[in-house]
Amino acid sequence: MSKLLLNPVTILGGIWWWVLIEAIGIALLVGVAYIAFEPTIRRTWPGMLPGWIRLTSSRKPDADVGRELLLGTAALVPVALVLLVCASLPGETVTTVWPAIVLLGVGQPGLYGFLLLDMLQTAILASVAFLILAGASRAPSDRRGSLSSSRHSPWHLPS
Amino acid sequence: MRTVSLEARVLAMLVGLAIVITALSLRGGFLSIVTFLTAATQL
Repeated sequence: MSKLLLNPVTILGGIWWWVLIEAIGIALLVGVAYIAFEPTIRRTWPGMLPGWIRLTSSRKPDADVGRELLLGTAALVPVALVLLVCASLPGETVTTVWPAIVLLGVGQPGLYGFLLLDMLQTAILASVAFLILAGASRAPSDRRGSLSSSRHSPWHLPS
Repeated sequence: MRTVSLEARVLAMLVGLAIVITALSLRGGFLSIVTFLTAATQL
């Protein structure tokens, strides 16, 4: 977040609030889409959501939650490698301040691309906050078991 | 020296992201994708 606040592209460009407003709009859309699609995903892709539900509900997270957090973090390594390789290729690579700018270049299209990444960053952070709030507000009914009728439901830890 | 265009760089980034997110959705879950995206935008 500090990088975002100190980002001279948005600050000096005077478009910080517009980027923020648009990103929050995207985050709301993502949150509403999550709520809309969740029942379908629960049915058709049962392995997808338990880790998330367990993290956002007030239950104690288990090893599966830690596994998914580690998987998501470890997946950064190949992406960082791609960024490094792209930055080392000959072409419009000028600054070394932000890897995204190094990747996209400092021309007009590169700056627009970086703004899109900036919005994506804010939107993801806001979406995560939204989804955690949604999960926290849903947790009590989850604990009562109203959302799952099966005894073998994957949504609850074995007691 | 032959230079690499902006389009090629963006394409490489998008292909890399697509591969990683597909792999995560197969081996992990929604939480792993959210973790990845949250961390990747901090790079």
